[in-house]
Amino acid sequence: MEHRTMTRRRLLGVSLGGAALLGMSGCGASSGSASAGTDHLSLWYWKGSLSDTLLATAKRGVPGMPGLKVQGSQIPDGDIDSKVRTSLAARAYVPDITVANSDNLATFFPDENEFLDLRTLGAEAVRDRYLDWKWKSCFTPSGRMIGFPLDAGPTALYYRRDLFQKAGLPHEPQDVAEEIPTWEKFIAAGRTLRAKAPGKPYLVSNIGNVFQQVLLQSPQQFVDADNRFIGDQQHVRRAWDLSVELLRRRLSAGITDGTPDFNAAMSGGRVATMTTAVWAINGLKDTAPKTSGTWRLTTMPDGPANYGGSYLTLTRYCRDPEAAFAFLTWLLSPANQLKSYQEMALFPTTPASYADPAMHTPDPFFGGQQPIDVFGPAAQKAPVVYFSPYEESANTPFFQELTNVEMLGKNPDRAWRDAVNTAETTLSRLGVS
Amino acid sequence: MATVLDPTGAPAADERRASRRGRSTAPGGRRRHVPPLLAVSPFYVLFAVFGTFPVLYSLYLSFQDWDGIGDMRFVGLKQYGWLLQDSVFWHSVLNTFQIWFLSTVPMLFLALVLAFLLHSQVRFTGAYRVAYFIPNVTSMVAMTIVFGSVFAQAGLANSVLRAVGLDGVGWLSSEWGIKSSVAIMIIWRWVGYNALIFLAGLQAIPTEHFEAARVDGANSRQTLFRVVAPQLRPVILFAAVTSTINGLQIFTESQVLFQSTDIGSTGGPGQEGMTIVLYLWQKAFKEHQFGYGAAMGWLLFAIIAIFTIINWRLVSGSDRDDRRPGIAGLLRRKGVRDGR
Amino acid sequence: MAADDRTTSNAGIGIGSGSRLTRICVRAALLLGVLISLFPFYWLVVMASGTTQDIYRYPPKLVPGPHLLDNMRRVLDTVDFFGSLFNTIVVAVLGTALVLFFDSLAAFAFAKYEFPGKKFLFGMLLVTYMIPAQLSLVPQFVTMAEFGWAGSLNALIIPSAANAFGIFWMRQYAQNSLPDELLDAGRIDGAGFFRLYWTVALPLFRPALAFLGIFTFIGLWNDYIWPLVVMINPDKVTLQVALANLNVLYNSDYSLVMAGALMSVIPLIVVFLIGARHFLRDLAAGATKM
Repeated sequence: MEHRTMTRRRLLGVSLGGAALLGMSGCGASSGSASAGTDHLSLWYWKGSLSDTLLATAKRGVPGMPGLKVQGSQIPDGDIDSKVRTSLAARAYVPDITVANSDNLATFFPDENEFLDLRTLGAEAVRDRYLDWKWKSCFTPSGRMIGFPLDAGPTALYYRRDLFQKAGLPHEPQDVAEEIPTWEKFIAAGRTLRAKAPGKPYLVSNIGNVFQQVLLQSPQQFVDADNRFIGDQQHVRRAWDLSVELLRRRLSAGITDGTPDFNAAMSGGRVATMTTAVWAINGLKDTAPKTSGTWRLTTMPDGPANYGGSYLTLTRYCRDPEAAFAFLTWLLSPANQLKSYQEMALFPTTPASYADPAMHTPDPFFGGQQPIDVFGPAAQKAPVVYFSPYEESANTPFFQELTNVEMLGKNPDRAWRDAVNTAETTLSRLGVS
Repeated sequence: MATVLDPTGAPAADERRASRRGRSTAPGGRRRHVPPLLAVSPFYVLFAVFGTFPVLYSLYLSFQDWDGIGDMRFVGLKQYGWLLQDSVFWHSVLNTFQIWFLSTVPMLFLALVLAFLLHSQVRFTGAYRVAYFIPNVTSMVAMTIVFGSVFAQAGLANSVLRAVGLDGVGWLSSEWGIKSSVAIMIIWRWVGYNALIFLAGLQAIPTEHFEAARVDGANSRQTLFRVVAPQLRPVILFAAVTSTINGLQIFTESQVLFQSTDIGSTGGPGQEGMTIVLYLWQKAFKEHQFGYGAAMGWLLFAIIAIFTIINWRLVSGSDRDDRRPGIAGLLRRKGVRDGR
Repeated sequence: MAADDRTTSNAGIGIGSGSRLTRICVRAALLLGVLISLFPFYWLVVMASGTTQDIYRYPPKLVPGPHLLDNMRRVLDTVDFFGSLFNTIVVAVLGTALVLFFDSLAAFAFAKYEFPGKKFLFGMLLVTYMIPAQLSLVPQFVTMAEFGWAGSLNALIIPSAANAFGIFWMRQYAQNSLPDELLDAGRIDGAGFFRLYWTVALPLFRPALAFLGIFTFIGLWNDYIWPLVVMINPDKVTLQVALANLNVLYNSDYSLVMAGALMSVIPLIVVFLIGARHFLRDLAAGATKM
């Protein structure tokens, strides 16, 4: 009997405790900022988008700004945009500062008033430190500056020198760039590789990556500045056809990036190239540490592009805009961008950094090659691309249908028609013709 | 404890006695009703605030175009119109039913077999029950991650196939591979649970029924169909209804299995693993089309309602006695008639 | 209870009463089933104790490796495991306590009292049981935002603090196991409604509370879609959401993810094994009642 009484008393106690908790935490969320009631500002980022070392410093205290602390929270990079939107919708736990990807920044344009206009905080004063095209891309069509330049994403062809060599292909970066200057030559090289290299390696992990790169080499994407759908035009069709050709020649491993299978294939030497940006370096090093020394970098077939590269934004819930802006200028100063490049392969948007000797260190993962030799010129030659707020809605069907073609053997022409139809339907719902 | 297992009789008598006494002996007017009303009120208050209000609000939202941040725009029935034309939505409906069928049918069959096997065992029954129930207790997220690695191209499942000389299967990269993988996870999770419920149903059958059948000269098979099957029907109905409601709301398996940094990957290659709830979540909370998500919620509700009713009719329809099919029948079986 | 029934009734069915061979086959089949049931857990331990390279090796490595503690320590370094665990425990414990309290109180009233609207209210209870939660995922989120509860544990605890299933099931139990004589005796002593509930009904409800408690606890612990939607503060999530995030963030470090999965699974299995006897017995009773 005694035991029973205890149980019931405990039950009551816990219930009352619950009611107390209810009352307590109900009032905590009122200010809207994720950092409300703390001594720091909150920053949302994804793994690899900011320097871990600098973040650790900022967590203890931003140098030169007494009392200012910034604490980062890691969000998966595919989620960050929707998480920020969700918190804006809830008007609670909105980060003071957040990282936005290059194509995601535009998706915030319709809600530009949720972000602070950085010009009101004195952004113009540091303008000449940054790449001009990157700076211009921080503005919404109405002229509000909602982004601050973080990194750039110059692209390159990553390839396995050893496999190229064994297949009898050109294998030194300079030779590869000269003898494989176009996507057509790239495909031809892939066929040689598949036929002659040991283990019959695939040229690419999946065709979606090539589709992405060919697209980024065009200044036009899926929706133009007048909100017209242009995804059914030649520049997209060419990217599509090249991707399908890769598949037809059986040069693609058909593996989704970031899956366990991808990791196994990269470390097992089953995929011989990667067509991506500079920021992928650290991911590759993590995924396939044993392949160190076998990789090289060279110019992308048909020339470089800018893939990704991010921005920092301040939300309107930011508790201390001046301090937050001071943090941005500290974190993204030329000196710290240089550190971020060395640590995280985040390519600086501050041209002053490029000449620094520290940018020109050899990387043993690439057999002593200096990545800057490839990415530096690429950053300058990349075409300036227009991203509409509806870009993601428009291009998602194309990526999905390419996956269908690759994984499920769907007829490419039917897949193309379906992609165009789905994109048009989706866009018409969003008010884009 | 036998009374708990007894499905009829006692409660009604109990209830009548309670009500008679309630009327004659309770003190003073209406105030005596206050404590019991107060006692039942928390559920109804919570339901009004967190159930009814959101449901009505979702009707309102489904007539709006809203990203959750800016202003709402009234669009009338357009969201429903778009939804009916949305091929991905119908694909997700089809996927959901395919996965539901692939999982529920084998799952109920295996559970029934397992229940019979367990019923015939005398030793270690407690240990068996725990072992078979554990899959149901563990977190779906964790186990989906485990199954995800097993079904990877270079994973354990294909290693086993390779070891016996077969070709690997594209478990996570082909239409039926994806559906089978999700179905296998569901089967693994629910067979034990349903087997234990069937077992309870079996154990509730009075021994006399079997003896009567034996006296009549019935063989095992006749016993199964004449004695066991009718007695198990309510339990099977319960399991079938529960599996339908759960099956049409599959989310976690598909979401975690194809979780990736790339938004287009939701639901896996060809979106063959895209389920209704996953699509709802994607539209509402990844793409922030709140009105569209609300409209989809209503269609999901309609689909579940229709199939639950069909389910009741199928399982209880052939009954000739007073158990009429449909809501009334189920409520009666649940004991509503005894309510007064 | 259940165990006694079995020994008497099993003789009635053909299986099991057959030859020695049949019995061996049955036992073999059952053991095979147990292996299939438990294998994923074993495989989880194998993966969590190996290296990422081990996981996709051919032929696969089928025995646990030496890296378990190392991997677990890396989980602790990478994510706020104990913070998420704490949140999950708070939700599961408080949520379960509230459900037990409110459900048993309502069940007591439904089972033993007459009051206006009782029939209607009880009917409504069953109808609400049929409404899928996902129907109103969007408006529920908006409601929480209006309450200022988005991102707070309240959003996970309060809306499900009383549920139709529990009330229905407890009422059924109360009708059968709570003798009127006891209540009458209490009334003679001058006890009112709540006193009778507290001193007479609740102690007798214990077996039913144990079942409902574990059932609710498991449900709250494992809930995924709702915390995923409503816990908008990335520094304050439940174990399930934290694990899903770990899975995306560290997809190239599989032994780390697996160690995280293992750590998230263990606490609940321990709770279940402690309460398994009560739970499985009452699950059976609950199911046949439904």
